[in-house]
Amino acid sequence: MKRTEATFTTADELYSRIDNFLPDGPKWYCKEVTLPEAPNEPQLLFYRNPVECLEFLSQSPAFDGHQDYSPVKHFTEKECTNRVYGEANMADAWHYYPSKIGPKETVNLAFCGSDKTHVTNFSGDGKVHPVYITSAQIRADIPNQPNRRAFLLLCYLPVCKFNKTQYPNVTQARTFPGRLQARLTHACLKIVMEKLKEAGQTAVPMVNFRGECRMNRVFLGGWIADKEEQNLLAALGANSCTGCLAETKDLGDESPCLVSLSISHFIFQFINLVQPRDSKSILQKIQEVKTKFPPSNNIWIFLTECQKAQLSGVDDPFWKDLPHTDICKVICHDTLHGLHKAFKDHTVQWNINRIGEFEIDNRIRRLPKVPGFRHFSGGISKISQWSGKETKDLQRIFLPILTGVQTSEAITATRAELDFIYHAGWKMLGEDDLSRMIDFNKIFHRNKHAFLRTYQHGGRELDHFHIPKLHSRHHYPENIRWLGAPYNYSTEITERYHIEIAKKAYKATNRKNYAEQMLLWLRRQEKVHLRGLFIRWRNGQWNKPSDVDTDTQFDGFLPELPLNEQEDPPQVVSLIVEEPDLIDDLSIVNESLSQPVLKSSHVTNSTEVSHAISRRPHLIRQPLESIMMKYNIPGLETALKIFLIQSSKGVLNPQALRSELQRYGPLSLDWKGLSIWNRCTITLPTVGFEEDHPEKRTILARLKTKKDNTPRFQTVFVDPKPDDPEPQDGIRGKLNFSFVHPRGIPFNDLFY
Amino acid sequence: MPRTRGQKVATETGQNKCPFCGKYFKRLGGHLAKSSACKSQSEKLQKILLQENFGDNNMEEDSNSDIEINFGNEEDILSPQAFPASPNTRPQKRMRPTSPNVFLHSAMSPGPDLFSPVAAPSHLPAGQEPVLHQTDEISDLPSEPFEAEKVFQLYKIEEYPQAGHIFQKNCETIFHKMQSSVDGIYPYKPFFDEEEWSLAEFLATSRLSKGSINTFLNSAWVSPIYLYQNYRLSSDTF
Repeated sequence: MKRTEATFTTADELYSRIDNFLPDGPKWYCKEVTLPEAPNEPQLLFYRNPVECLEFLSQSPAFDGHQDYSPVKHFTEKECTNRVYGEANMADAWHYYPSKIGPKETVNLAFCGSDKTHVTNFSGDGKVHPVYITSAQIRADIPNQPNRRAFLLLCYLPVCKFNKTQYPNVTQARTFPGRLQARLTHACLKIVMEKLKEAGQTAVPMVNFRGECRMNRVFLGGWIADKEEQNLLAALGANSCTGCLAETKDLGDESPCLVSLSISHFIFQFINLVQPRDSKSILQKIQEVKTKFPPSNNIWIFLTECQKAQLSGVDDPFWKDLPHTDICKVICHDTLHGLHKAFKDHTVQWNINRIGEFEIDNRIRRLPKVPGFRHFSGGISKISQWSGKETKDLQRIFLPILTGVQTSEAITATRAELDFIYHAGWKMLGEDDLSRMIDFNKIFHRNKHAFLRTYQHGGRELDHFHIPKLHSRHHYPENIRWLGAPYNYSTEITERYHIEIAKKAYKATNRKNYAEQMLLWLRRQEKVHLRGLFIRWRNGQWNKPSDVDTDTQFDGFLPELPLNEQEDPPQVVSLIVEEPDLIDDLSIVNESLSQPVLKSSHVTNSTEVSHAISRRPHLIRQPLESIMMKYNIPGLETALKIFLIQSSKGVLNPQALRSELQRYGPLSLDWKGLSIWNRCTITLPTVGFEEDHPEKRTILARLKTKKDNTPRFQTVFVDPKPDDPEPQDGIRGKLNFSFVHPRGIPFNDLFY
Repeated sequence: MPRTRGQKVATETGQNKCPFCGKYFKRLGGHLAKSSACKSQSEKLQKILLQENFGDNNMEEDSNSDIEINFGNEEDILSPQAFPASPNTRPQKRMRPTSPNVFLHSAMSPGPDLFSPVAAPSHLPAGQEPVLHQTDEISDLPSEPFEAEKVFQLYKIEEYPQAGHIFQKNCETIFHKMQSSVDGIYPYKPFFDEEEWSLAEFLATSRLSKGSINTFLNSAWVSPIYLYQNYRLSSDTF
C-alpha cells in the first residue's frame, strides 16, 4: 500500500496550522467585568456576538431545507377553530412580532439555553456556566440532533463565589454571594445581548445556505433553563412563579393565573385574584425597592430589601431594553426538569410513602420483561442516579403498579399527571389538547390530597404542596401557545450539549485557567468542523437541497460555476439600490393579500407497514424437525405445505386442501434447512406529521439468550386482508418464530 | 453427507432433549439424522399430526411415489411471482446451501407401536392452525374506513405572507469567502492533500492528548524511517 506520510510531525505543528490557517466561526470577545460591590474580584467574560452566531447558523448546509422564515397558523379543520401548535413559527410569538415591526421583515427568534454545570467529576469545584444560542428558524428536529451543531456556544458566564468580598455579618455572608452572582450574571448578559438589542431595532441582512438574503429582526425568543435559572433570569426570588404573581404560599394552589384560560366561567371567577406576571411588573417592583433603598448608597440594604420583596437583588436586568421582549414569556417551561424529574422527585415519592419501598420494588421486579419496556430488576428505590431516560421508563410502568395498594384518588391523580406529561411530550398540540391538559391538571389538583393521607409517610413534602414545579404546570398551555410544542425547548438538548461543550472541553485542558483553554479547544473543533463542511461543500456533496423547490437559481449558486459567482457582486449592489421600490411593490401585494388565505396543506397519507430484519439470521440451516421440536410447533410442516400449495394453486376450500395435502409428499430439500430470525422490527404506519420518524416496534420470538433462559414469544395481531377497511378483524396469535427462509427462493419473509 | 458435528453432550446441561430417546444433544437435527429410531418416530409424529389436523386417517400408501414428482416440480411450484416482494431490500446473499440431508427424505418406516407417549398428539396447542387457513366470521362491524388513519390534514392561514421575503438572491456565503481564500494548487492547505486532511481532522477531533498525537505521529506506521528525510523537507514547505 502506497502511503504518503504526514507533513506535520508534532501535535504542536498540527494545532498551529489549524490555528493559523483555518478560518474561524463567529469571533470571540473577552471583557473584564467587575461588580462595584466586589471591586477586588474582577471576572473575565468570554462571549460572542449573538447576531454573528445567528448569521453563521443560517448559512450552515446542515440546516438547509429545515428552516422556516414566515409565520403560519395551522388548523385541524376548515372552520379554523382548533389551532395547532408545533414548530415555533406556528405559535403566537412569531405572529406577535410582525404585528409590532411590520409584516415585511423576517423574524428571527433566538433561543438561548443555559445551565450551570460541574466539569470536575469527584474533586475540585470547577463549574462553568455556558450559554448556548440557536435560531428558531431551524426546525426543532435539527437542534435536537447534537451532531448537526445547531446550538452554538454564546458565552461562558463567569462563576464566582465572591470569597474575597467582605460582608456585614455572617448570615449575609451566607446569602449574599448568590445575590452577587445574580447581579454578575445580569451584568454579563447585558454586555452579550447588546448586539441582539440592536438587531431587534434595525433589521440585519442574513444569508442562508442557498444564498437567499433576508432582512432579519432578531429577538430573544426563548430561554431554555431549569427552574433555578429561570428565576435568576427573571430577576425573581427563588420561589416566585415566572408566569404569574404567585409566591411561595400560592404554589400549591389549584388554579392560579386563570386569566389566560379560555374557559369563560373561570375567567369571571378568578380574574381579580391572580394576574400574569410580565416584564413591566418586575421592573416596577425593582424600581420601588430601588427608589427607597438605592443600591449605590448601600448595596447590602438593597439586597436585603429585595429578598423581602421576592426579588433576586438585580437592579438592572439584562432584558430591560430588549425591544418587544417580555422575559416572562421568553422563559420556557421545560419538560425534563419540570415534568419528568418532578414526577420522579415528588409523585413517585408520594406513592412510595404510602405503599412502601419494599412493596413497590417487588411489584416492579415481578413485571415480565417486554421489549420496549425497561425491566428494573433491582427495583427503583435503590437507584441513585436518575437520568431523564430512567424516569421516562418508569413512567411507562408506574401506573399499573399502584393497582390494589393505592387509594383510587391517588391513582387518579397519578394518572392525570402522567397524561399531562405525555401530552406535553407531543410534537404538535392542538387547542383541544391544551384544554385537555388543563383538565388533567385540574383532576390532579382535585385528588392530590390523597397523597397527604398516608399512614406511614416519612417524606418531608407531605405537609404542603408548595412546589414550584407543580405550580408551573398551570403555565404550560400558555407557554405552548406562545412558543410551540415543548419539544422545541426541552432542556434535554442543552444537557446533551454540555457533554460536548463543557465536559469534553474541560478534559482537554490542564485544569488551570480552564476557561481560556476550553475556548481554544472549542475554537479548534469549530474550525475543523467548518473546514470539513467547506470541503464537502466544495466537493459538491451538499448541492442537493432537500426541499421540493429545486429552483434554478440555486443551480447557478453552486460553486461548480465560478463565472456566476464572479458576477454576483455587481448584482448585489443593483439589488440593494432597488430595495425601496421592492418594498413598495411588496406593500401593494401585501394589501391585496391581507385576507387570510385558507388552503389545505400537509396531506399525509399513511404509509405501508414494513418490517426489517437483521442481515444475518440468528439461526441458520436448522432442520425442520429440530425447529418443530425446539419450538414445540408440530404443525409447522403442515402449515408450510399448505402455504406452498396455496401459493401455487390459490386459496382452496378445506376439502380440496385436504386432498391436496394428502397427495403432497415430503417437502423439498430447500425447505429442510431453514434460517430463523428471532426478532424483527415493524415500522408502523405514520399518522400525522411524523413522516421522517415513524414509530417502530420490535417483536421477539426467541427461545433463550446467553444470559436469559426465559423464552420470549410475543402476541401479534395479523390482518389477513390488508385492503380491507376494517382494521379490527385481524386474528390474534402468538408469534412462534419469526422467519423461515429456504435457500435460493426470492420471496418475502414468512412468519409462523 | 449430513452434518456430523451433532455429538452427544456428556452432561445433562446439553441444550436439546430428544423427546424420543430422552438424551441430550447439542443439535437435534444431527441426532435425528444419525439415529434412525428417533428419526422414524419423528416422521411418525408428523404423519399423525397431519391426520390430526384434518381428521383424516386414510393416509395413502403410495405417497412415496409422489415424493420424486414433487421433488422435481418444486421450483415450478414456487414461482417468484407467487410471493410478493418484501418491502425492505436485503442483499441477495442468504444462507449458504445446506448439504442435502438424505435421511430426512428416506422412506418412512411404518410402525405406529414405536410411537412414544412423550410427544402425544394431544399436546398439540389449539392455536397451531396455519395462518392462511382461517375464516372470517366477524362481519357486524361498521365497514367505513377509519378516517384518521388514512389522511391527516391541516389547514393553514398565513397572516403575514410577506414575512420571510427574499431581498436578494445568490448572495455570498461564508463558503464562498473561504473558497476565495483557498489556494488553487493546494486546496487542502494547510494540509497537503485529502488524506492528510482526513488524518488531521481525526487527530484534532479525537480527544487525543498532544502526547498521544506525538506518539502516533512518530510511530513507524505513520512515518517510516527511510522516508524521514523526505518528509522533513515537505514539512518545511508549509
